[in-house]
Amino acid sequence: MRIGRILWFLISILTGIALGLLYGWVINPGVDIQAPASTLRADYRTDTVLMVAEIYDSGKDTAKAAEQLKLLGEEDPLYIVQQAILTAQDLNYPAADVTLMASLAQGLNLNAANSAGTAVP
Amino acid sequence: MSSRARERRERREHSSQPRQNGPWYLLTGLILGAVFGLFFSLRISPVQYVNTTPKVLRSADKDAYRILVALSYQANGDLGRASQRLAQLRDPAPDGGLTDLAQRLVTDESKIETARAVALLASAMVQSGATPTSSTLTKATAAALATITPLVGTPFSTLENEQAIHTATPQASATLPVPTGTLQPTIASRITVVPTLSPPFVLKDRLPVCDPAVEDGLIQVQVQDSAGKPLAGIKITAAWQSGEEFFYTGLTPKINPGYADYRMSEGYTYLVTAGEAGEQASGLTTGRCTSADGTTRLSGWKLTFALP
Repeated sequence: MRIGRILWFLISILTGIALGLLYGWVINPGVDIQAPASTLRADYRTDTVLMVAEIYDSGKDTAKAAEQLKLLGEEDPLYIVQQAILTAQDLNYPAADVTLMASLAQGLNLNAANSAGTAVP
Repeated sequence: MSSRARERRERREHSSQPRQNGPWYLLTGLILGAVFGLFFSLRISPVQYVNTTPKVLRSADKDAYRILVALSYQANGDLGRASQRLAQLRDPAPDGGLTDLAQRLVTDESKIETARAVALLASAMVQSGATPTSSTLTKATAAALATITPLVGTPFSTLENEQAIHTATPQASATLPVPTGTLQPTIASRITVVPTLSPPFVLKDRLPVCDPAVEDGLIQVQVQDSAGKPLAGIKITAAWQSGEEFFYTGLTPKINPGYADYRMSEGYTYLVTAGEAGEQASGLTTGRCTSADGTTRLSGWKLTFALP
């Protein structure tokens, strides 16, 4: 009889755990969702890169663009733009938009090359 | 049988019977388990978000997103696209969010230009009546594109559902070359020119104010074009004997996109200019006055600047 009680006690604990996990992970996972921009879905990331590219196009400020791209994560800004171009091509973005992003990638690439050139005497 | 032996026997019998305490131990186990489950799922291993939308971004990142939208609008003048991007934040009043942001940015001198871009977008949205609903945005985009006869709007598709962004971009032709970094000449035709050095404004009207509905000692400035249309993003300078401050119209688009105000201090005489080299409103002071409802207030000024 005592073993039966212990067994039922364990079962009730496991049921409680399951209910707690169900609530915390499924029913109400985001009581206070505060997601960073680095978690944005690929199409939103691409549109964000496009915004940066549009801004870059008007001023050709590579440093500012790289700073703005930090919003999307700590990866290399050039890599972020390259990924965005690939996504944009997958999603059939208009060529004008892809061109803007390509121009930004070119600028970042050039900047990186210049930096590497100055670093090595 | 002695009473002692009887007592022992009763105790033995009693201990061999199951106690009828009810199922409380089950409830205890359930609560213990639930507490552990909640703690684990909310604290130790909370849900990791991936593939999120701008709507669930933390507030700092939402602000950064708004700034990008405003700067890109400043760069390309595409209000339809900017409205659609802002709509992704699902703000009940997108222009209100922009105005708040502009007012926060304007306090930092290094971010004045950014504040100006945000304010311009806010006032453009108020003027155009852009709302976050997708149907209106589609109409706005269509209307914006309809004004550009040779251009064709091309929506881009989404990853998997209709939640993603559908914006339109003008294309010169369907056979544009693969990206080469060359600027598309069609973009330039859509750029809304925002003058950085504004033309000289003239002081059209200057009225003292002693109104209980208006904040004490307020200089209310309205800036208009020659047709009387409010102008946002115009720099207003308020100077006094020992210093000056500047601010921009359009930070409170709910009042008027061409509106800006400044609170005077008693004992100072102010000189207000609109734009870079416009006519000056000089000798502006504040003092006690009696308003229509009989209360004593600090007087203010209502100034209207306009293009000749």
